[in-house]
This record gives sequence, C-alpha cells and structure tokens, in this order.
Amino acid sequence: MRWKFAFLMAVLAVAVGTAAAQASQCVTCHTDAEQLKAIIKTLPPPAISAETAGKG
Amino acid sequence: MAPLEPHEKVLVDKDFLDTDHGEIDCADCHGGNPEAGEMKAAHKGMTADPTFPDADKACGDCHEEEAALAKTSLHYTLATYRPTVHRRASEDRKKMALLDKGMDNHCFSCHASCGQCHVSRPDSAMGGFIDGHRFNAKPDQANQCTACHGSRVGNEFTGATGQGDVHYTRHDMDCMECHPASELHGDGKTDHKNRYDVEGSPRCDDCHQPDPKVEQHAVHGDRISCYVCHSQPYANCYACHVGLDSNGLAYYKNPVEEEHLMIGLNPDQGPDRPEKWILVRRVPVDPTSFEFYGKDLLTNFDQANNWKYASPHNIQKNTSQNRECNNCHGNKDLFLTEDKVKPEMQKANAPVIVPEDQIPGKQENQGEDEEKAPRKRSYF
Repeated sequence: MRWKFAFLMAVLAVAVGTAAAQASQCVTCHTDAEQLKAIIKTLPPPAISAETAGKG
Repeated sequence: MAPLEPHEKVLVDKDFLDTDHGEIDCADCHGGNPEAGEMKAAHKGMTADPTFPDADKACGDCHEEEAALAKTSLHYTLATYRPTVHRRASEDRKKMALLDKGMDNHCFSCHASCGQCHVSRPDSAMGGFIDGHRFNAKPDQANQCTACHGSRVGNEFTGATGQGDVHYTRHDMDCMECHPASELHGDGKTDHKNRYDVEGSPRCDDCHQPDPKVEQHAVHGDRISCYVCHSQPYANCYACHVGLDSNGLAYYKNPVEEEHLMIGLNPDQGPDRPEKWILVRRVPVDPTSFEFYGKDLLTNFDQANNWKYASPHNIQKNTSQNRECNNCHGNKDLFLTEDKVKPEMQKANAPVIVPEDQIPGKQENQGEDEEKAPRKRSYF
C-alpha cells in the first residue's frame, strides 16, 4: 500500500512539474524580445485599410 | 502616441510575473495550448483579449463587482450607438439588417474592455501592451483614453489643437481626475440615452462654484452652460462614410472637418441640465454614411439632430466669449441659426437651432464712463 502511495505521489509530482514547465513556454517566448522579433519577421503585417482618411 | 514596435506589443516584462496577475498561468486567462513548443500550435484556441466579450470569465472570480458592471458599461457595450442610429434608419427590415452589418464592421469595433483600459492599447488603436502586461489600476491617458478619444477630446484637451484645457495644461489633471472608475465602470443601468446619463458623470460644479461677484455669473445664472463662455472653438465633422476596401478591410473617410464654436438651444432641459444655452457640435453622421452597405439606409435621418450637446474639453478661464459682452450678444456668427444647417437637416435640428429673433441683443453702454455706468468688470 505504501509503495502504491509513493508511486502515485511520484506520478503526481512529475505531472505538476511538467505542467509548470510547459505553462512557462508562453513566458519563455513572450519575455524574449529577440525571439519575438525573429518570429514577427515571418508574419504578415497587420491588415489596415489604406483608404481610411480624416479624423476618427 | 508613438507607434509600438510589433514585438513590443506582445513583450511581457519579467517583473510582471511577480505580480498577482502574473502568477496566474497564462492559459488560465488566454487559453491556447501552452504545451506546444511552436507558435501556431501554441496559439490555437488562444484569446488575445480574454476580457471581451465576457468580462466575468477572465476577471469575475476576483473582480466580481467590476466584471458585473462591465455588462452595462457604455465603454464596454456601446449600448447607445444602435438605438441612436436606428432612429434615423429605414423601417425596411432588409435595409435595417444591412445597416446593422455596417455598424458591426465599423461602429462596434471601437469598444473598450477591461484589458484595453488596464493592460494594452485599445484594439481600435492597434493594441499592444503599454507596460509589459502589467495591470495598471489607472488607465493611461495617452495610450488608452485618448488612443480612442483622440481626434476631438484628446487634441482639444492637450492643446494639439487650440490652447488646450487649463485642467491639463496648468493643473496637470488627467482624464481620471474627473472621470473616475465609478463613472467609467458604469452604474449598472441599461436605459441610458447617451453618455451624459451615466450616474457620476462629472459636472463643473462638482468642484467650481460660480463666483456671484463676477458680473457674467450674476447676470446669466444657470441659463448658460459653463462651456459657452469657457470653451474654445472645437472640431466639427460633417460627412463620415464607411466601407470595406478591395481587401475586405474596414475603412472610414471623414473628409470635412471645421473648427468653430456654436451656441445652440438645449433640447433636453431638465433639473440636471437646466441651461437654455449650450454648445453644440456637428457629429459626422450623414444620410449616406452607410451607403457602401446599401442605398437609402437612413431614410429617417431627420428623426434625430446631428448638432449635439457638446462639452468641449478645452476650457480656458479667459476666452473671446467672456472678454466682452458683445462678443456673444448680437453676434449671429456664434449661434446655430437656420442658415448654417443644411435644408434637409433643419427639421431634425429644430430643437437646437436658434431663431434669429432669440439671439441675445447687443449690450449698450459698453466701455462708457465707469462713473456713469458703474459695473464691476469681471476680471478673472
């Protein structure tokens, strides 16, 4: 029984640690200016109409 | 407002991660797939602004009251837009549907959300974090308030046009000094006709009591709105048209804009706004504003005035109007008379148009010998 409990706790710890590490993928990219610049170079520019004129 | 570099718009400051909001998992608010190591996959199902259209979902757990108020806040819902435009609309249901489509593409793109007041620039100003994703309790005047309220209020307030508003230029007050959260978050009501109906909308006399020893205050009482004497000329726009370009992108064209000051009659006199004389501003709607979406969509155009009650944010103590009585009295140029309104719009604007025989007459004995006509001149 004790071994089962220990195994379950280990699995849980790995799951939580993995989730935490994976959640920080967002942070890893979004806190890195150079990485963001490199990615943005591959994206099309934002779509804005050239016909807009005058005060909005 | 300086443009943001594309990467700056999404660059999260590491210090943000130590804040209360920063300690929440990104996906808890934004969704997406944080397990993916590649951008496209990671962003699948992700919401850039999770605070719209359901403020409760992202913010309600901790900010229950504010999230609840967002449902009826005019900044969030723009609830007065549709009924106002519908008053002018054709009763034909197909035409109404075309009009609604136009409004959805253009008018309703300008809403604010919790995030667009507290985290990023508004979508209508191309978005982007203004402070590394930090949540600022007080919105930023330059990057948030006037990002939307820029071409009229922002320019007039800061002095980009005219001399600016003394509240800002001399006393360093920003928007939130007069427009606190209690007003902007809304009052929970759903029957507003316009923004002035929101509980807590600021009034001059919240802070300023007119000095009765000042001649013009004593003579005019509450018959004249403070703005009439203390505003400068302001932007009036005449002919906005909207549409989609060849790429399907929304545009607006607002070709005619003039700076002037126009005194009109108050169409909604009541206990809250007892003044007879107010300033009116031409708003850009035109009978053909939505013509891109269909012909004759606003066939009841004359059901609502398009010279509207105005509160220009360019207050000065001394203005041309209050320098001399006869700068207003007998000065037809300053009053919205019938000849200044297009014939097809005169019926709609009848409540605000000033009949010429109602223009206050010239004051005699101006500048004569003080001993004969002793009057306290109102030097501010």
